[in-house]
Amino acid sequence: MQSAALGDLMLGSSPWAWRPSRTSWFEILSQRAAQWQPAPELGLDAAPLVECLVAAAKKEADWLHHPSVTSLTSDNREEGRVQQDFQLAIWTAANARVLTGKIVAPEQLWAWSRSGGFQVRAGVHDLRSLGSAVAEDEWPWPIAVDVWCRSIGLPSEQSWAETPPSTPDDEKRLQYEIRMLLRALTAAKRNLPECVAWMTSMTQVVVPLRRVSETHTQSASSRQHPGLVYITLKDEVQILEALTHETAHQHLFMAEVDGPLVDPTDSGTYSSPLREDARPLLGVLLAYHALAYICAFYVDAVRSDLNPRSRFSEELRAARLKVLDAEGTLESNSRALTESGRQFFELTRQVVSYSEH
Amino acid sequence: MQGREEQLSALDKEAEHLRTRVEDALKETLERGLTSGVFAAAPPRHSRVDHVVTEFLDPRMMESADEGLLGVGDVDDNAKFRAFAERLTGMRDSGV
Repeated sequence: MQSAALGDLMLGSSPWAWRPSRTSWFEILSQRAAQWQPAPELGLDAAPLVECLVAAAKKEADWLHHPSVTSLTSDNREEGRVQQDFQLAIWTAANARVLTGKIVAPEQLWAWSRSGGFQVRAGVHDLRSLGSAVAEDEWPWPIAVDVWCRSIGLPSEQSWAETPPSTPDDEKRLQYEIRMLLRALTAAKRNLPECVAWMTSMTQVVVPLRRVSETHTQSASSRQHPGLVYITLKDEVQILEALTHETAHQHLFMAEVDGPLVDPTDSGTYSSPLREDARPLLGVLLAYHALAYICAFYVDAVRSDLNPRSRFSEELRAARLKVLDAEGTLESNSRALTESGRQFFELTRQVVSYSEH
Repeated sequence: MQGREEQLSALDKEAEHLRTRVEDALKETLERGLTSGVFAAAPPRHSRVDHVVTEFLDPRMMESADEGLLGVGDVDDNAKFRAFAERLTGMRDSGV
């Protein structure tokens, strides 16, 4: 019998319809919210905030799967705590519009919103007013861009926040890369609506990474920063592929909350189509699942009005070879998958079949 | 009879005019494709794309690179992309 937590994908239906259940993730978030103690410097009345967060978690409110809740999901509660707790309080006030009361900014802080946010000077502020300013902020794209890592309150490694542009050319390069990202999001919103709906069910914010190589791109996501993906911005097609790749990981993270997909006692390492170094089997499953969706993305791109179609076809062929490679590795080592892992593998195989025709 | 010849002559002129317009449009499209739509014309090889990206990262090229891939980016779009990119990068030190 298939685990309900893995969600369902009817044979022949769109791969974008598969969304693993988020119920267990929200249950854990609710427990963490119930224990949340905001930094004392903020002078907050914690009880109504905690009540709002717990109630929203029980309703599985979409706005909680967001980097603004890093205070609840990060294991590191020391570094950046004041800014992170400040952001969580403002974000909660923005989305649960019933909160009143004051919040103290012990120093100059930042209230992040979808179009970047605003500086908040040191002093006492009205929580509802700050929340309204964040809620009413308009951003025309389906995913926000957080260049300065303010949604998570700490500069990430290799981000522009960690090493800001130091020359006019550097600044131009950053602006150029952001324009590419916005153009890619615009194209996807207009031409790949199902893919974008699947992306935005998990990915809310992109942190652009500095490119350290002209030939390689990088991307990452973390269980501790829900809804946030890190990507280097090379060109529009690569950007959409990377968004698909990292969103797939965010979906897999949901699926594994109920229990491991790979036997935790398995210490073997295996070849992965996406990395040169041998990986644990979970790494291969992550790659397989991401590649399955990358193939689906290129299938939809080829069928759309987007260009260049020849590149989509070529990328699809390359991704198909890799996904079959990963499938072979997983088939040969399926004994190391748990029951949930085997079901996840089978569902992913159905996603792969979308690109077979 | 003369009226018919005049009609044919007028049609010839119109046909010539249309042919010129089509040729000009084709020429313009090809030229645009070779300058700012390089990605679309490039073979789908990573090495080639890398090369093009390197060129695009030259600041002198960036100004003309706004049409990019995917066939998205009319005048209004590009103004919006530019405005938001400037806004986001300008937020490093100052508030809104």
